[in-house]
Amino acid sequence: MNTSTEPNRQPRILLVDDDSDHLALCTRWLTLSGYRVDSANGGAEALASLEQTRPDLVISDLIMDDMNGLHLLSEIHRQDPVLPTMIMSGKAGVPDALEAAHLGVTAFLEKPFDKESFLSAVAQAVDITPPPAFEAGDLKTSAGQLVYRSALMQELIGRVHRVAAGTSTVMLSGETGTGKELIARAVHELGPRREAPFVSINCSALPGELLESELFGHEKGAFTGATSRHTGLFQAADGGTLFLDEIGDMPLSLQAKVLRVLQDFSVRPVGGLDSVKIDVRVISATHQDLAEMVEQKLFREDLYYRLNVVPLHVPPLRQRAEDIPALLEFFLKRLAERSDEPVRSFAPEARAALIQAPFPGNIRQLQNVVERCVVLSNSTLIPKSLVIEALQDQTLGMPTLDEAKNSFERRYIAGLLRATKGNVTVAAKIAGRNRTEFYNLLSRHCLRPEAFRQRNS
Amino acid sequence: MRMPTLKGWLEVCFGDTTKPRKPPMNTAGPTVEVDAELADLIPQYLSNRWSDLAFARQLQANNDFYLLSRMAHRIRGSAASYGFGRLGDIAQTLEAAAEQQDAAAVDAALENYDVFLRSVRIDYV
Repeated sequence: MNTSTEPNRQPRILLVDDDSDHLALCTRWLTLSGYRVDSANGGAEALASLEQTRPDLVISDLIMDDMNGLHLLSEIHRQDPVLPTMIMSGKAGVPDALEAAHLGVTAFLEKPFDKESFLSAVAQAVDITPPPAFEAGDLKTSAGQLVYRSALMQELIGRVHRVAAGTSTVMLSGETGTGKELIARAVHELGPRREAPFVSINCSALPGELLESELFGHEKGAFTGATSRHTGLFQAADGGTLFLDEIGDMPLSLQAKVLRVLQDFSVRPVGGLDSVKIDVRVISATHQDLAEMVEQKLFREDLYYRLNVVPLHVPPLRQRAEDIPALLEFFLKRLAERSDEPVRSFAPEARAALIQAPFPGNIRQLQNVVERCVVLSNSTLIPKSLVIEALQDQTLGMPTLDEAKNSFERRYIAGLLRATKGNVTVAAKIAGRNRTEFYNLLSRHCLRPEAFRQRNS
Repeated sequence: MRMPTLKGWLEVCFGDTTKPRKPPMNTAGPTVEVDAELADLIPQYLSNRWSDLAFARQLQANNDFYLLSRMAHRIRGSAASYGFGRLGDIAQTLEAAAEQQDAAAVDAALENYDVFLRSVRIDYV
Protein backbone atom coordinates (compact mmCIF):
# COMPACT_ATOMS: atom_id res chain seq x y z
CA MET A 1 0.00 0.00 0.00
CA ASN A 2 1.52 3.25 -1.07
CA THR A 3 0.02 6.37 0.30
CA SER A 4 1.08 9.86 1.13
CA THR A 5 -0.80 9.76 4.39
CA GLU A 6 0.94 9.77 7.73
CA PRO A 7 3.23 6.84 8.43
CA ASN A 8 1.60 3.92 10.26
CA ARG A 9 -1.80 5.37 9.65
CA GLN A 10 -4.28 3.11 7.92
CA PRO A 11 -6.28 5.06 5.35
CA ARG A 12 -9.97 4.89 6.07
CA ILE A 13 -12.43 4.08 3.32
CA LEU A 14 -16.20 4.37 3.28
CA LEU A 15 -17.57 1.66 0.99
CA VAL A 16 -21.19 2.00 -0.15
CA ASP A 17 -23.08 -0.73 -1.99
CA ASP A 18 -26.52 -2.22 -1.50
CA ASP A 19 -25.34 -5.57 -2.91
CA SER A 20 -24.25 -7.36 0.26
CA ASP A 21 -22.08 -9.87 -1.62
CA HIS A 22 -20.17 -7.18 -3.46
CA LEU A 23 -19.83 -5.16 -0.29
CA ALA A 24 -18.42 -8.20 1.56
CA LEU A 25 -15.96 -8.93 -1.25
CA CYS A 26 -14.58 -5.38 -1.55
CA THR A 27 -14.43 -5.04 2.22
CA ARG A 28 -12.36 -8.22 2.40
CA TRP A 29 -9.96 -7.05 -0.31
CA LEU A 30 -9.50 -3.68 1.36
CA THR A 31 -9.04 -4.95 4.90
CA LEU A 32 -6.52 -7.54 3.76
CA SER A 33 -4.60 -4.71 2.08
CA GLY A 34 -4.41 -2.75 5.29
CA TYR A 35 -7.25 -0.27 4.88
CA ARG A 36 -9.81 0.48 7.51
CA VAL A 37 -13.26 0.07 6.05
CA ASP A 38 -16.59 1.52 7.06
CA SER A 39 -19.30 -0.15 5.03
CA ALA A 40 -22.74 1.19 4.28
CA ASN A 41 -25.48 -0.63 2.41
CA GLY A 42 -27.01 2.50 0.94
CA GLY A 43 -26.76 6.24 0.56
CA ALA A 44 -28.59 7.15 3.75
CA GLU A 45 -26.36 4.91 5.83
CA ALA A 46 -23.30 6.42 4.15
CA LEU A 47 -24.35 9.97 4.97
CA ALA A 48 -24.98 8.94 8.58
CA SER A 49 -21.52 7.38 8.74
CA LEU A 50 -19.95 10.60 7.47
CA GLU A 51 -21.43 12.47 10.40
CA GLN A 52 -19.26 10.31 12.65
CA THR A 53 -16.01 9.89 10.77
CA ARG A 54 -14.15 11.48 7.94
CA PRO A 55 -12.75 8.84 5.58
CA ASP A 56 -9.86 9.31 3.17
CA LEU A 57 -11.93 7.99 0.29
CA VAL A 58 -15.56 7.16 -0.48
CA ILE A 59 -16.32 4.35 -2.93
CA SER A 60 -19.94 4.03 -3.96
CA ASP A 61 -22.00 1.87 -6.25
CA LEU A 62 -23.82 3.86 -8.93
CA ILE A 63 -27.25 2.28 -8.88
CA MET A 64 -28.68 1.70 -5.43
CA ASP A 65 -32.25 1.36 -4.31
CA ASP A 66 -32.35 4.22 -1.82
CA MET A 67 -30.09 6.75 -3.51
CA ASN A 68 -28.22 7.11 -6.78
CA GLY A 69 -24.47 6.98 -6.20
CA LEU A 70 -23.87 10.26 -8.03
CA HIS A 71 -26.48 11.97 -5.91
CA LEU A 72 -24.73 10.62 -2.82
CA LEU A 73 -21.35 11.92 -3.96
CA SER A 74 -22.86 15.26 -4.80
CA GLU A 75 -24.23 15.44 -1.23
CA ILE A 76 -20.84 14.46 0.13
CA HIS A 77 -19.04 17.08 -1.94
CA ARG A 78 -21.43 19.75 -0.74
CA GLN A 79 -20.00 19.14 2.73
CA ASP A 80 -16.45 18.35 1.73
CA PRO A 81 -15.60 19.36 -1.83
CA VAL A 82 -12.15 17.78 -1.79
CA LEU A 83 -12.94 14.36 -0.35
CA PRO A 84 -11.83 11.82 -3.00
CA THR A 85 -14.57 9.60 -4.34
CA MET A 86 -14.85 6.59 -6.64
CA ILE A 87 -17.84 5.14 -8.44
CA MET A 88 -18.42 1.46 -9.25
CA SER A 89 -20.96 0.49 -11.84
CA GLY A 90 -21.95 -2.35 -14.07
CA LYS A 91 -24.18 -0.21 -16.19
CA ALA A 92 -22.99 3.31 -16.64
CA GLY A 93 -23.91 5.45 -19.60
CA VAL A 94 -22.06 8.41 -21.02
CA PRO A 95 -24.24 10.91 -19.09
CA ASP A 96 -23.35 9.16 -15.82
CA ALA A 97 -19.66 9.24 -16.67
CA LEU A 98 -19.89 12.93 -17.58
CA GLU A 99 -21.69 13.75 -14.37
CA ALA A 100 -19.14 11.75 -12.42
CA ALA A 101 -16.33 13.68 -14.08
CA HIS A 102 -18.12 16.91 -13.30
CA LEU A 103 -18.34 15.86 -9.66
CA GLY A 104 -14.61 15.26 -9.60
CA VAL A 105 -14.85 11.52 -9.13
CA THR A 106 -11.33 10.07 -8.94
CA ALA A 107 -12.13 6.79 -10.70
CA PHE A 108 -15.04 5.13 -12.40
CA LEU A 109 -14.71 1.36 -12.05
CA GLU A 110 -16.73 -0.88 -14.29
CA LYS A 111 -18.12 -3.98 -12.63
CA PRO A 112 -17.05 -6.71 -12.57
CA PHE A 113 -13.47 -5.85 -11.74
CA ASP A 114 -10.63 -7.89 -10.37
CA LYS A 115 -8.83 -7.40 -7.12
CA GLU A 116 -5.68 -5.92 -8.64
CA SER A 117 -7.40 -3.22 -10.68
CA PHE A 118 -9.66 -2.35 -7.74
CA LEU A 119 -6.83 -2.03 -5.24
CA SER A 120 -4.68 -0.17 -7.73
CA ALA A 121 -7.43 2.43 -8.27
CA VAL A 122 -7.96 2.72 -4.52
CA ALA A 123 -4.23 3.16 -3.84
CA GLN A 124 -4.06 5.84 -6.49
CA ALA A 125 -7.05 7.68 -5.05
CA VAL A 126 -5.73 7.49 -1.50
CA ASP A 127 -2.31 8.53 -2.67
CA ILE A 128 -3.64 11.76 -4.10
CA THR A 129 -5.63 12.43 -0.98
CA PRO A 130 -4.43 15.76 0.29
CA PRO A 131 -2.84 15.76 3.72
CA PRO A 132 -5.72 14.27 5.56
CA ALA A 133 -7.42 15.34 8.63
CA PHE A 134 -5.66 14.55 11.80
CA GLU A 135 -7.01 11.48 13.43
CA ALA A 136 -7.62 13.33 16.56
CA GLY A 137 -5.41 15.75 17.88
CA ASP A 138 -3.66 18.80 18.56
CA LEU A 139 -2.50 21.47 16.23
CA LYS A 140 -0.04 23.86 17.80
CA THR A 141 0.22 27.44 16.70
CA SER A 142 2.32 30.21 18.15
CA ALA A 143 -0.79 31.65 19.77
CA GLY A 144 -2.17 28.47 21.25
CA GLN A 145 -3.18 24.94 20.60
CA LEU A 146 -6.22 23.55 18.81
CA VAL A 147 -7.42 20.46 20.65
CA TYR A 148 -10.07 18.31 19.03
CA ARG A 149 -11.38 14.80 18.55
CA SER A 150 -14.61 15.39 16.62
CA ALA A 151 -15.17 14.57 12.97
CA LEU A 152 -16.28 18.17 12.39
CA MET A 153 -12.98 19.56 13.62
CA GLN A 154 -10.94 16.86 11.89
CA GLU A 155 -12.60 17.93 8.66
CA LEU A 156 -11.92 21.60 9.37
CA ILE A 157 -8.26 20.99 10.19
CA GLY A 158 -7.92 18.90 7.04
CA ARG A 159 -9.20 21.89 5.09
CA VAL A 160 -6.87 24.23 6.96
CA HIS A 161 -3.92 22.11 5.80
CA ARG A 162 -5.11 22.17 2.22
CA VAL A 163 -5.89 25.89 2.24
CA ALA A 164 -2.60 26.79 3.93
CA ALA A 165 -0.57 25.67 0.94
CA GLY A 166 -2.21 28.23 -1.36
CA THR A 167 -2.54 31.97 -1.40
CA SER A 168 -6.31 32.34 -1.64
CA THR A 169 -8.12 34.77 0.57
CA VAL A 170 -9.82 32.96 3.44
CA MET A 171 -13.01 33.91 5.27
CA LEU A 172 -13.57 32.40 8.70
CA SER A 173 -17.06 32.32 10.11
CA GLY A 174 -18.20 31.09 13.48
CA GLU A 175 -19.54 32.16 16.80
CA THR A 176 -17.54 34.16 19.32
CA GLY A 177 -15.12 32.02 21.30
CA THR A 178 -14.80 29.21 18.76
CA GLY A 179 -11.13 29.88 18.02
CA LYS A 180 -11.21 31.71 14.69
CA GLU A 181 -7.94 33.51 15.35
CA LEU A 182 -6.19 30.24 16.13
CA ILE A 183 -7.45 28.82 12.86
CA ALA A 184 -6.19 31.92 11.04
CA ARG A 185 -2.78 31.47 12.64
CA ALA A 186 -2.80 27.81 11.67
CA VAL A 187 -3.48 28.73 8.02
CA HIS A 188 -0.54 31.12 8.16
CA GLU A 189 1.89 28.90 10.03
CA LEU A 190 1.18 25.76 8.00
CA GLY A 191 1.74 27.60 4.73
CA PRO A 192 4.76 28.90 2.85
CA ARG A 193 4.44 32.34 4.48
CA ARG A 194 5.12 30.97 7.96
CA GLU A 195 8.45 32.80 8.26
CA ALA A 196 6.86 36.14 7.34
CA PRO A 197 4.75 38.26 9.73
CA PHE A 198 1.24 37.38 10.85
CA VAL A 199 -0.46 40.67 11.62
CA SER A 200 -3.82 40.77 13.29
CA ILE A 201 -6.32 43.57 13.86
CA ASN A 202 -9.80 43.62 15.32
CA CYS A 203 -11.86 45.89 13.08
CA SER A 204 -14.50 46.46 15.76
CA ALA A 205 -11.99 47.76 18.28
CA LEU A 206 -11.11 51.01 16.52
CA PRO A 207 -13.15 53.92 15.14
CA GLY A 208 -13.18 54.21 11.36
CA GLU A 209 -10.52 56.92 10.94
CA LEU A 210 -8.09 55.25 13.28
CA LEU A 211 -8.69 51.87 11.66
CA GLU A 212 -7.90 53.39 8.26
CA SER A 213 -4.69 54.87 9.57
CA GLU A 214 -3.76 51.56 11.22
CA LEU A 215 -4.38 49.59 8.04
CA PHE A 216 -2.88 51.94 5.46
CA GLY A 217 -0.48 54.00 7.53
CA HIS A 218 -0.10 57.76 7.25
CA GLU A 219 2.45 60.36 6.34
CA LYS A 220 3.69 62.91 8.82
CA GLY A 221 1.20 65.78 8.98
CA ALA A 222 -1.50 63.86 7.15
CA PHE A 223 -3.98 64.95 9.81
CA THR A 224 -4.02 66.69 13.16
CA GLY A 225 -1.90 64.68 15.53
CA ALA A 226 0.02 62.82 12.81
CA THR A 227 3.35 63.98 14.15
CA SER A 228 5.33 61.21 12.53
CA ARG A 229 5.13 58.81 9.63
CA HIS A 230 3.33 55.56 10.46
CA THR A 231 3.60 52.31 8.54
CA GLY A 232 0.23 50.61 8.08
CA LEU A 233 -0.56 46.97 8.85
CA PHE A 234 -0.89 46.03 5.18
CA GLN A 235 2.75 47.00 4.73
CA ALA A 236 3.75 45.47 8.04
CA ALA A 237 2.31 42.16 6.86
CA ASP A 238 4.13 42.30 3.51
CA GLY A 239 5.13 38.77 2.49
CA GLY A 240 2.93 37.33 5.23
CA THR A 241 -0.68 37.34 6.35
CA LEU A 242 -3.04 40.07 7.52
CA PHE A 243 -5.88 38.85 9.73
CA LEU A 244 -8.90 41.16 9.73
CA ASP A 245 -11.01 40.05 12.68
CA GLU A 246 -14.64 41.15 12.94
CA ILE A 247 -14.57 42.39 9.37
CA GLY A 248 -18.36 42.89 9.54
CA ASP A 249 -17.77 45.92 11.78
CA MET A 250 -15.61 47.72 9.23
CA PRO A 251 -17.22 51.01 8.07
CA LEU A 252 -18.47 50.99 4.49
CA SER A 253 -16.20 53.87 3.48
CA LEU A 254 -13.17 51.85 4.55
CA GLN A 255 -14.46 48.70 2.88
CA ALA A 256 -14.08 50.41 -0.49
CA LYS A 257 -10.43 51.16 0.25
CA VAL A 258 -9.71 47.62 1.39
CA LEU A 259 -11.33 46.32 -1.77
CA ARG A 260 -8.97 48.47 -3.83
CA VAL A 261 -5.99 47.02 -2.02
CA LEU A 262 -7.17 43.49 -2.70
CA GLN A 263 -7.61 44.35 -6.36
CA ASP A 264 -4.33 46.21 -6.90
CA PHE A 265 -2.17 44.77 -4.14
CA SER A 266 -0.87 48.21 -3.42
CA VAL A 267 -1.55 50.65 -0.60
CA ARG A 268 -1.33 54.40 -0.36
CA PRO A 269 -0.79 55.74 3.16
CA VAL A 270 -3.16 58.48 4.33
CA GLY A 271 -1.75 61.79 3.14
CA GLY A 272 0.71 60.06 0.85
CA LEU A 273 1.04 60.46 -2.89
CA ASP A 274 2.64 57.20 -3.86
CA SER A 275 1.28 53.68 -3.71
CA VAL A 276 3.40 50.88 -2.33
CA LYS A 277 3.20 47.37 -3.77
CA ILE A 278 2.45 44.70 -1.20
CA ASP A 279 2.23 40.90 -1.16
CA VAL A 280 -0.22 39.97 1.57
CA ARG A 281 -2.54 37.07 2.13
CA VAL A 282 -5.73 38.30 3.74
CA ILE A 283 -7.70 36.17 6.18
CA SER A 284 -10.86 37.71 7.56
CA ALA A 285 -13.25 36.55 10.23
CA THR A 286 -16.66 37.42 11.49
CA HIS A 287 -19.32 36.09 13.83
CA GLN A 288 -21.97 37.94 11.79
CA ASP A 289 -23.93 36.76 8.78
CA LEU A 290 -22.06 38.72 6.11
CA ALA A 291 -24.30 37.48 3.30
CA GLU A 292 -27.25 38.90 5.16
CA MET A 293 -25.35 42.15 5.72
CA VAL A 294 -24.71 42.33 1.98
CA GLU A 295 -28.45 41.92 1.42
CA GLN A 296 -29.07 44.78 3.80
CA LYS A 297 -26.42 46.92 2.09
CA LEU A 298 -24.39 47.00 5.29
CA PHE A 299 -21.44 45.25 3.69
CA ARG A 300 -20.08 45.71 0.16
CA GLU A 301 -21.00 42.82 -2.07
CA ASP A 302 -17.82 43.10 -4.15
CA LEU A 303 -15.64 43.01 -1.05
CA TYR A 304 -17.62 40.08 0.32
CA TYR A 305 -16.88 38.00 -2.77
CA ARG A 306 -13.26 39.12 -2.78
CA LEU A 307 -12.81 38.00 0.84
CA ASN A 308 -14.95 34.89 0.72
CA VAL A 309 -12.84 32.94 -1.80
CA VAL A 310 -12.27 30.04 0.61
CA PRO A 311 -14.87 29.99 3.37
CA LEU A 312 -14.07 28.02 6.52
CA HIS A 313 -16.67 27.58 9.21
CA VAL A 314 -15.53 27.00 12.77
CA PRO A 315 -18.27 24.96 14.46
CA PRO A 316 -19.62 25.95 17.88
CA LEU A 317 -18.73 23.76 20.84
CA ARG A 318 -22.29 22.46 21.20
CA GLN A 319 -21.91 20.72 17.82
CA ARG A 320 -18.74 18.96 18.93
CA ALA A 321 -19.28 17.95 22.53
CA GLU A 322 -16.93 15.00 21.93
CA ASP A 323 -14.08 17.54 21.99
CA ILE A 324 -14.90 18.60 25.55
CA PRO A 325 -13.10 15.78 27.45
CA ALA A 326 -9.86 16.44 25.55
CA LEU A 327 -10.24 20.19 26.05
CA LEU A 328 -10.78 19.67 29.78
CA GLU A 329 -7.57 17.64 30.05
CA PHE A 330 -5.72 20.26 28.06
CA PHE A 331 -6.91 23.20 30.16
CA LEU A 332 -6.32 21.37 33.45
CA LYS A 333 -2.78 20.46 32.43
CA ARG A 334 -1.99 23.97 31.23
CA LEU A 335 -3.33 25.57 34.41
CA ALA A 336 -1.25 23.16 36.51
CA GLU A 337 1.88 24.03 34.53
CA ARG A 338 1.28 27.74 34.95
CA SER A 339 0.70 27.53 38.68
CA ASP A 340 3.28 24.80 39.24
CA GLU A 341 0.71 22.73 41.08
CA PRO A 342 -0.43 19.12 40.60
CA VAL A 343 -2.84 18.50 37.75
CA ARG A 344 -6.43 18.55 38.98
CA SER A 345 -9.14 16.36 37.55
CA PHE A 346 -12.92 16.44 37.39
CA ALA A 347 -15.05 13.91 39.25
CA PRO A 348 -16.92 11.70 36.73
CA GLU A 349 -20.28 13.38 37.42
CA ALA A 350 -18.63 16.83 37.17
CA ARG A 351 -17.16 15.85 33.83
CA ALA A 352 -20.56 14.60 32.64
CA ALA A 353 -22.15 17.93 33.63
CA LEU A 354 -19.53 19.81 31.62
CA ILE A 355 -20.01 17.61 28.57
CA GLN A 356 -23.75 18.22 28.66
CA ALA A 357 -23.55 21.99 29.22
CA PRO A 358 -24.51 24.20 26.25
CA PHE A 359 -21.56 26.66 26.38
CA PRO A 360 -22.98 29.54 24.32
CA GLY A 361 -19.63 31.27 24.81
CA ASN A 362 -17.91 28.24 23.30
CA ILE A 363 -14.32 27.32 24.15
CA ARG A 364 -13.58 30.64 25.77
CA GLN A 365 -16.43 30.01 28.21
CA LEU A 366 -15.33 26.43 28.84
CA GLN A 367 -11.84 27.67 29.59
CA ASN A 368 -13.22 30.21 32.08
CA VAL A 369 -15.31 27.56 33.81
CA VAL A 370 -12.33 25.20 34.13
CA GLU A 371 -10.09 27.97 35.46
CA ARG A 372 -12.67 29.03 37.99
CA CYS A 373 -13.16 25.44 39.18
CA VAL A 374 -9.41 24.96 39.55
CA VAL A 375 -9.00 28.17 41.53
CA LEU A 376 -11.91 27.45 43.86
CA SER A 377 -11.38 23.73 44.36
CA ASN A 378 -9.88 22.59 47.65
CA SER A 379 -8.97 19.14 46.43
CA THR A 380 -7.34 17.65 43.36
CA LEU A 381 -10.68 16.11 42.39
CA ILE A 382 -13.11 18.85 41.32
CA PRO A 383 -16.66 18.03 42.45
CA LYS A 384 -19.84 18.41 40.44
CA SER A 385 -21.20 21.06 42.83
CA LEU A 386 -18.37 23.40 41.92
CA VAL A 387 -18.91 22.84 38.23
CA ILE A 388 -22.63 23.54 38.54
CA GLU A 389 -21.88 26.72 40.44
CA ALA A 390 -19.40 27.87 37.82
CA LEU A 391 -21.77 27.01 34.99
CA GLN A 392 -24.64 28.88 36.63
CA ASP A 393 -22.54 31.95 37.15
CA GLN A 394 -21.44 31.78 33.55
CA THR A 395 -25.05 31.52 32.51
CA LEU A 396 -25.93 34.45 34.74
CA GLY A 397 -23.38 36.46 32.85
CA MET A 398 -25.27 35.88 29.64
CA PRO A 399 -27.66 38.60 28.49
CA THR A 400 -31.40 38.06 28.59
CA LEU A 401 -33.21 37.75 25.29
CA ASP A 402 -34.41 41.35 25.61
CA GLU A 403 -30.89 42.56 26.34
CA ALA A 404 -29.54 40.60 23.36
CA LYS A 405 -32.29 41.96 21.08
CA ASN A 406 -31.64 45.47 22.32
CA SER A 407 -27.93 45.13 21.70
CA PHE A 408 -28.50 43.83 18.18
CA GLU A 409 -30.98 46.61 17.44
CA ARG A 410 -28.48 49.26 18.52
CA ARG A 411 -25.67 47.79 16.43
CA TYR A 412 -28.01 47.37 13.47
CA ILE A 413 -29.23 50.97 13.53
CA ALA A 414 -25.72 52.30 14.04
CA GLY A 415 -24.64 50.21 11.04
CA LEU A 416 -27.50 51.64 8.98
CA LEU A 417 -26.53 55.19 9.90
CA ARG A 418 -22.92 54.48 9.00
CA ALA A 419 -23.98 52.99 5.68
CA THR A 420 -26.26 55.91 4.84
CA LYS A 421 -23.94 58.59 6.24
CA GLY A 422 -26.61 59.62 8.71
CA ASN A 423 -29.43 59.94 6.16
CA VAL A 424 -32.49 59.14 8.29
CA THR A 425 -34.92 58.89 5.38
CA VAL A 426 -32.84 56.27 3.59
CA ALA A 427 -31.95 54.42 6.79
CA ALA A 428 -35.62 54.24 7.84
CA LYS A 429 -36.55 52.93 4.41
CA ILE A 430 -33.91 50.17 4.58
CA ALA A 431 -35.10 49.26 8.06
CA GLY A 432 -38.69 49.09 6.89
CA ARG A 433 -39.88 51.75 9.35
CA ASN A 434 -41.45 55.16 8.83
CA ARG A 435 -39.51 58.25 9.92
CA THR A 436 -41.40 58.64 13.20
CA GLU A 437 -40.80 55.05 14.22
CA PHE A 438 -37.17 55.34 13.21
CA TYR A 439 -36.68 58.50 15.25
CA ASN A 440 -38.19 56.68 18.23
CA LEU A 441 -35.61 53.93 17.75
CA LEU A 442 -32.82 56.49 17.53
CA SER A 443 -34.03 58.12 20.71
CA ARG A 444 -34.26 54.79 22.54
CA HIS A 445 -30.65 54.00 21.69
CA CYS A 446 -29.38 57.57 22.11
CA LEU A 447 -28.06 57.60 18.55
CA ARG A 448 -27.60 60.95 16.79
CA PRO A 449 -27.65 60.91 12.96
CA GLU A 450 -25.52 64.08 12.91
CA ALA A 451 -22.63 62.18 14.42
CA PHE A 452 -22.62 59.83 11.46
CA ARG A 453 -22.80 62.69 8.99
CA GLN A 454 -19.75 64.29 10.62
CA ARG A 455 -17.83 61.03 10.70
CA ASN A 456 -18.18 60.62 6.98
CA SER A 457 -17.63 64.18 5.93
CA MET B 1 -36.68 -6.05 -1.21
CA ARG B 2 -36.74 -9.62 -2.45
CA MET B 3 -39.20 -11.76 -0.51
CA PRO B 4 -39.35 -15.32 -1.87
CA THR B 5 -42.61 -17.12 -1.30
CA LEU B 6 -42.80 -20.24 0.82
CA LYS B 7 -42.58 -22.24 -2.38
CA GLY B 8 -39.45 -20.30 -3.27
CA TRP B 9 -37.82 -21.03 0.06
CA LEU B 10 -38.79 -24.70 -0.19
CA GLU B 11 -37.16 -24.81 -3.57
CA VAL B 12 -34.06 -23.21 -2.16
CA CYS B 13 -33.87 -25.80 0.60
CA PHE B 14 -35.13 -28.88 -1.15
CA GLY B 15 -35.12 -28.10 -4.85
CA ASP B 16 -38.24 -27.95 -7.00
CA THR B 17 -40.64 -30.29 -5.17
CA THR B 18 -43.20 -30.22 -7.97
CA LYS B 19 -40.90 -31.96 -10.42
CA PRO B 20 -38.81 -35.06 -10.15
CA ARG B 21 -35.43 -34.15 -8.72
CA LYS B 22 -32.59 -33.80 -11.10
CA PRO B 23 -29.57 -35.91 -10.34
CA PRO B 24 -26.74 -34.01 -8.69
CA MET B 25 -24.34 -32.81 -11.34
CA ASN B 26 -21.36 -31.69 -9.39
CA THR B 27 -19.30 -34.71 -10.26
CA ALA B 28 -18.43 -33.60 -13.77
CA GLY B 29 -19.24 -29.88 -13.65
CA PRO B 30 -17.05 -26.84 -14.17
CA THR B 31 -14.28 -26.14 -11.70
CA VAL B 32 -13.62 -22.59 -10.70
CA GLU B 33 -10.60 -21.27 -8.89
CA VAL B 34 -11.39 -18.97 -6.00
CA ASP B 35 -8.91 -17.02 -3.95
CA ALA B 36 -8.40 -18.86 -0.65
CA GLU B 37 -8.73 -15.60 1.25
CA LEU B 38 -12.38 -15.52 0.20
CA ALA B 39 -13.11 -19.11 1.28
CA ASP B 40 -15.28 -18.19 4.25
CA LEU B 41 -17.41 -15.86 2.11
CA ILE B 42 -18.25 -18.49 -0.52
CA PRO B 43 -20.92 -20.52 1.32
CA GLN B 44 -22.98 -17.36 1.87
CA TYR B 45 -22.33 -16.23 -1.67
CA LEU B 46 -23.61 -19.51 -3.15
CA SER B 47 -26.54 -19.61 -0.77
CA ASN B 48 -27.54 -16.15 -1.98
CA ARG B 49 -27.31 -17.34 -5.57
CA TRP B 50 -29.65 -20.24 -4.84
CA SER B 51 -32.07 -17.77 -3.28
CA ASP B 52 -31.77 -15.62 -6.36
CA LEU B 53 -32.55 -18.58 -8.59
CA ALA B 54 -35.71 -19.38 -6.65
CA PHE B 55 -36.81 -15.77 -6.77
CA ALA B 56 -35.92 -15.50 -10.45
CA ARG B 57 -38.27 -18.41 -11.22
CA GLN B 58 -41.03 -16.50 -9.49
CA LEU B 59 -40.28 -13.34 -11.41
CA GLN B 60 -40.26 -15.39 -14.59
CA ALA B 61 -43.67 -16.82 -13.73
CA ASN B 62 -44.96 -13.29 -13.11
CA ASN B 63 -43.36 -11.94 -16.29
CA ASP B 64 -41.58 -9.36 -14.14
CA PHE B 65 -38.76 -8.80 -16.59
CA TYR B 66 -37.68 -5.53 -14.99
CA LEU B 67 -36.81 -7.02 -11.62
CA LEU B 68 -35.35 -10.04 -13.34
CA SER B 69 -32.93 -7.86 -15.29
CA ARG B 70 -32.02 -5.93 -12.13
CA MET B 71 -31.27 -9.17 -10.32
CA ALA B 72 -29.20 -10.53 -13.20
CA HIS B 73 -27.34 -7.23 -13.38
CA ARG B 74 -26.46 -7.46 -9.70
CA ILE B 75 -25.24 -11.05 -10.04
CA ARG B 76 -23.15 -10.10 -13.07
CA GLY B 77 -21.56 -7.29 -11.05
CA SER B 78 -19.92 -9.54 -8.51
CA ALA B 79 -19.76 -13.10 -9.94
CA ALA B 80 -16.55 -12.73 -11.89
CA SER B 81 -14.94 -10.76 -9.07
CA TYR B 82 -15.50 -13.72 -6.77
CA GLY B 83 -14.06 -16.01 -9.44
CA PHE B 84 -17.32 -17.26 -10.94
CA GLY B 85 -16.75 -15.91 -14.44
CA ARG B 86 -19.07 -18.43 -16.07
CA LEU B 87 -21.87 -17.46 -13.72
CA GLY B 88 -21.27 -13.83 -14.65
CA ASP B 89 -21.65 -14.73 -18.33
CA ILE B 90 -24.91 -16.55 -17.64
CA ALA B 91 -26.17 -13.54 -15.65
CA GLN B 92 -25.26 -11.24 -18.53
CA THR B 93 -27.25 -13.41 -20.94
CA LEU B 94 -30.16 -13.48 -18.49
CA GLU B 95 -30.03 -9.69 -18.11
CA ALA B 96 -30.13 -9.18 -21.88
CA ALA B 97 -32.96 -11.71 -22.28
CA ALA B 98 -34.99 -10.04 -19.53
CA GLU B 99 -34.44 -6.59 -21.03
CA GLN B 100 -35.75 -7.90 -24.35
CA GLN B 101 -38.59 -9.65 -22.55
CA ASP B 102 -37.61 -12.83 -24.37
CA ALA B 103 -39.28 -15.50 -22.23
CA ALA B 104 -37.63 -18.42 -24.01
CA ALA B 105 -34.16 -16.92 -23.67
CA VAL B 106 -34.85 -16.17 -19.99
CA ASP B 107 -35.88 -19.77 -19.45
CA ALA B 108 -32.74 -21.06 -21.17
CA ALA B 109 -30.52 -18.74 -19.13
CA LEU B 110 -32.14 -19.80 -15.88
CA GLU B 111 -31.67 -23.44 -16.83
CA ASN B 112 -27.96 -22.77 -17.42
CA TYR B 113 -27.82 -20.94 -14.10
CA ASP B 114 -29.41 -23.92 -12.36
CA VAL B 115 -27.03 -26.38 -14.02
CA PHE B 116 -24.04 -24.25 -13.10
CA LEU B 117 -24.98 -24.02 -9.43
CA ARG B 118 -25.63 -27.76 -9.25
CA SER B 119 -22.42 -28.74 -10.91
CA VAL B 120 -19.81 -26.18 -9.96
CA ARG B 121 -16.74 -27.34 -8.09
CA ILE B 122 -14.49 -24.93 -6.28
CA ASP B 123 -10.74 -25.06 -5.91
CA TYR B 124 -9.38 -22.60 -3.38
CA VAL B 125 -6.04 -21.36 -4.57
